[in-house]
Amino acid sequence: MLFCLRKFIETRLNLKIEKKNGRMSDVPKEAIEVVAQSIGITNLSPEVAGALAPDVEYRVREIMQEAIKCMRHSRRTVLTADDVDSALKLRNVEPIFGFTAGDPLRFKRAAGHKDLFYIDDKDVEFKEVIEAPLPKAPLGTSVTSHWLAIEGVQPAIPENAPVKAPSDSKKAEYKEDGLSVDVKLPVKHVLSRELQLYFDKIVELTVNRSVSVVFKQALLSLATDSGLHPLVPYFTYFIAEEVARNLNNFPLMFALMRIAWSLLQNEHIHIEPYLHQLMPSVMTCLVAKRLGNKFTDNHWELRNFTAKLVASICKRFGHVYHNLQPRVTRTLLHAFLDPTKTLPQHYGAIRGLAALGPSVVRLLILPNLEVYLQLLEPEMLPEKQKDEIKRHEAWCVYGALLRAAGLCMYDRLKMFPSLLAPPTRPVWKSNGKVATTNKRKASTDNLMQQTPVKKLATDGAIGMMPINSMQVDMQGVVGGFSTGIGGSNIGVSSISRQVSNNNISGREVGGRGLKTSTVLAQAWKEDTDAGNLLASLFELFGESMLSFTPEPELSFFL
Amino acid sequence: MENMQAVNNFVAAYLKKKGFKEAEQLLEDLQNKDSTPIDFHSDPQLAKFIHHFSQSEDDVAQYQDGYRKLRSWAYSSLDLYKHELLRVLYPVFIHSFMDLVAKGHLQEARAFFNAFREDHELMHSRDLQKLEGVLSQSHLEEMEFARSLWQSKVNIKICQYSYDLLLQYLHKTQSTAMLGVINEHINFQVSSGQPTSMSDDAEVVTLIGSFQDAANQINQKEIHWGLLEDSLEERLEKAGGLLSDSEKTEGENRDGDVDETKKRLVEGGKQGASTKKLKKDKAVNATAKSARPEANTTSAAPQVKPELTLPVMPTEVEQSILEDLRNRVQLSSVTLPSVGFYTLLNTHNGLNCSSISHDGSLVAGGFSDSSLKVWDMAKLGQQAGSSILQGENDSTSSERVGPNGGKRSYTLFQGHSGPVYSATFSPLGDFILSSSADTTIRLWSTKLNANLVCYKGHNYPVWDVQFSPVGHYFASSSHDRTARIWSMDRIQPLRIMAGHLSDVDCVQWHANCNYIATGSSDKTVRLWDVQSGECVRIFIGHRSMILSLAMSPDGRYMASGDEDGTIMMWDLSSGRCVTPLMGHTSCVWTLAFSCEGSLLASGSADCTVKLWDVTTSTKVPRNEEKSGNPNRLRSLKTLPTKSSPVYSLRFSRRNLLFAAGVLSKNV
Repeated sequence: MLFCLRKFIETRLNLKIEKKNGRMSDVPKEAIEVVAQSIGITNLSPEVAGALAPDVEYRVREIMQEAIKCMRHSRRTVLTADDVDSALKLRNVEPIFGFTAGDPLRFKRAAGHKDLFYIDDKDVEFKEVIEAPLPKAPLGTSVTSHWLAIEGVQPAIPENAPVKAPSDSKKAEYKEDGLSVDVKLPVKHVLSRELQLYFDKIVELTVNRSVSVVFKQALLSLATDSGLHPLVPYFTYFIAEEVARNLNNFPLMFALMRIAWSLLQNEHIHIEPYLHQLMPSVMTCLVAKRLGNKFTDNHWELRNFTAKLVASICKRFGHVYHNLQPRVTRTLLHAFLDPTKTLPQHYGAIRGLAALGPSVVRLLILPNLEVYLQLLEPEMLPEKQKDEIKRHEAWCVYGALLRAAGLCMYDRLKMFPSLLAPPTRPVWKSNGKVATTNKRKASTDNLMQQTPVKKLATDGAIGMMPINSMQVDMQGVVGGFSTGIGGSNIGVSSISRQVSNNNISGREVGGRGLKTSTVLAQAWKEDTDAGNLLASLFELFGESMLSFTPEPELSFFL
Repeated sequence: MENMQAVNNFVAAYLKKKGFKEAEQLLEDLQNKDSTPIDFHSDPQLAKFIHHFSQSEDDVAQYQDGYRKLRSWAYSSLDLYKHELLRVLYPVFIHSFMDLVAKGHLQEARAFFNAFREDHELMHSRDLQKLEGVLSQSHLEEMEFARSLWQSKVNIKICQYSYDLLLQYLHKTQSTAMLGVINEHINFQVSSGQPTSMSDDAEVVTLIGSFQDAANQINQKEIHWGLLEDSLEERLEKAGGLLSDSEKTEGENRDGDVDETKKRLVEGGKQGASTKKLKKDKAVNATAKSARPEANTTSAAPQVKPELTLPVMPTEVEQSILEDLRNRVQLSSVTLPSVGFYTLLNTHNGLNCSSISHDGSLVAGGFSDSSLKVWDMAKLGQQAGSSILQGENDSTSSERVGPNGGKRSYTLFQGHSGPVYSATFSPLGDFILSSSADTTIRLWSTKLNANLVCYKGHNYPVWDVQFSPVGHYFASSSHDRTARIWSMDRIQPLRIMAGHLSDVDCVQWHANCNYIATGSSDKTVRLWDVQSGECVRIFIGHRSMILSLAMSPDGRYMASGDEDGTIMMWDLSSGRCVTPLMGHTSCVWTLAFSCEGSLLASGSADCTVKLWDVTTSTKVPRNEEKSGNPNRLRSLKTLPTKSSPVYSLRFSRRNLLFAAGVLSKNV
């Protein structure tokens, strides 16, 4: 009995716990007979065998049940021979000897039988075992520690399981949420055949025929058609990709910007979620070092256009994304104030800032104008800059600055026409006259004179030109100017400016500088000194400023 | 008339068979006399019944047919009542099977079982696995599970209409075998009104025989789940105001004389109220350090007196615990704990259990080679120059220098003569208890590195041993189906809790030390009164063996984890399951509540630690609980380990979670 039990356990160890054995496995009578014969009982009657068979099965099951308990208490999910041993011990049965492997046993399927398994147990020569060199001692048990999670977040260290794919974590989040039962499956984006055709067509036009009439029609369609929304991610992706790859392909750049413009115009499109993808491309087209590779490529125009585009984006989505405009302006300002950047980049930055509105110009460009012009001056003069192209670029930048400052001033004057009160009138009349006569000379003179002082004041500020120091400086300059108003003379003004600058470096730096800066900060803020603004702009740009002055106001000066 | 003759013959045969000699004689006489026909012929109904009965008597196929018909009928019944009728099928199925076995029709029984077991595989696979082995009448007698099923009635809640439907069907089809089974083994609790909801059938799942009624009765008993009076936490709250007050005024004094501090603490208890009032008036943020949002709820909870004489805690230990409590991190669903994981390497499949001390500095592992190994994690880093460690060698149990001269990083405790199945640290970390297959429990000292006591009492392997929250007392559970309460100073158990129908697999103390909970292979969890040794609650609902238990720190709730990966939260006072927590795919080896009871951590064989939000359930009002939104407890976070099943979890007093597991290849 015992023996046959053991036999069966040996052959039936494959009873995996998790495995659901749908068929009721029966111990055949023949098996009992075979076992009986093997232990020397030859006259076992079939009835006895038949009666024994179910009991054997019952006992085997009982042993397995206990073995499973032992397995669970050994914190395992795989049954081992040790568990069966323990179970046999529990039932006061002599355990099976010979199975000591700590690892789970490997069973092999007997050929020709569906569920007869055996352990591949090779015969080992006793001598060999004895003579074999001692195996390496197994590694001792040890403990290591690591952080599985720090305040609920798993650190990405090799001891932890690798972080699963994002889709998986998304699912987990949902599960963690727990309250919502429905699990959202990743949405498959299905494009209709028509939309795909449309998209392909537009792409083809953009790449190959961006100057044709058809492209104009396409832009119009993009700007007005409803039902294009499913294509928006594809377009933004397309734009981003192409801009990144084809910076020297000027027509394509322009076409892409036009598409972006059209998409932004379309009222039926909800483009907000894709702005983050679109903005870098747009900014690239605005302040890129090089756009197009031919001299004939009119990248100025592209920059102008893109500046308009940026401004419209900021205007439209600025209230939704509060950090949109600050980020854009920060980028542009960095480009503008970095002397290592090329002039076209400065141009783009200036145009971009100008497009954002006069107040941006007033706050960000004007305070830096003076110093910037100093740097620009030599580039513009034929005797200093021999390179025709460079000079042209410089003049373009100058033009952009002029335009920005002029528009800003125009805006000021428009808003506060009454501020151009009579007291300033004579002053500016004369000043205007002087400026018209010797504007260039005066300004260059001023610049020349000022350079050493400036160097002192803005020491170390050349690289980054922190706005703060610039502002103080400019205020000082303007302050000096306003104090010199009484003199009503350009010479006086320049002298007084020098005085003020000297003062800054002098002992009065604390009192005076502070006083003027606070006073003037207030003045700037309250926009009461449009006149001063005009004055300083005249100082810098001369008569070309006049073209920006509205007619009625202009009459004050002339 | 032919029919009549047949009936006569049958009755005669029946009487003969049953040994009713006199009645047989009488019948024969009557028939021989050929006098007036026996009255049963005059009643066509009765005749029909007897006729029918004559067929059923020896026709075993009746069971199979009857069951098949009943099954197809139940499956095609109205949707609204279907689930109730389907519930009837399972008891009918197992009892039909056992009837067949009992009558000796083994082949038919087997065929019947195989034909229909698929239906019940989902819900009752483990029961079926057991029943599968019943192959003769003697097995029915021998096997406890089958016997208890056989001898008991199953309670099934059913609505009036479903009940009518069922009766109608049974009468119409005259399936007497089914009617017999149902009458004999099913006790219908007919309720008027709507059928019960689908999810409410938890009680039907566990058919553990007679104690269904008994369980209900037991669960009526009163339970004082409140926390102990004058607990440390409470003292902390009271002292909190005072200490922070004193910190301001006499900051340095805290490190002063222990006695003085103690005195102050006691005073703190008295003055607590008044100082608090003062605080409110001042409205200063002095209580910021001890500002605990749930402070009010804990003090509002009922408090109980300890039924055991509790050990006195040394004051310096108390101080350090209080210090820990003050520095405790408040955990919630938004502030999850940090988890430190101890991985045991190179265990060669030999690690049976692990345990972490309350401060997380010691890790114990029980091995199947009868050894118990303890690692001091604080010293782990300085192993290189650990010559000092060798100084404290103990000749009997711990030898740090191994046979090959290499240094061991652990303390080896040898003494058991069988696999070590469980180990537990005393709250202060100075003692370890281990239980083993050699039926003994041994007490070890971590200070002396030596075995102190061997507790013999169980007759079979001791599966689990747990120190009480205050130390000194401990509880053990064993294959001998008992749980026992011991104290460290006696070698005999103080109480023996008997009642489980199978192995007691795990044991856990209630926070107030007046109760212990035991989980068993009979799929129930029981709560026992430590003082009286009586069973005061039976929690029915698990579908497989219970592997782990945890008690919430406020004493109201208990969590239990089973073999299938289900965790159940129980309300101790009502004995009902708050909600099952599904998520694990394999055995839940360990459970732990965070110190303020807002989180439950579970560790499983599926190599994850899961964090569950349990505050939501404990804070909602009672009426909402009954309305039963099963999704209220939610899984907050799943932390997968790198193929390391998690064997044990422990929240330190400062609410840092420690987990231990073994790196295993085959998972």
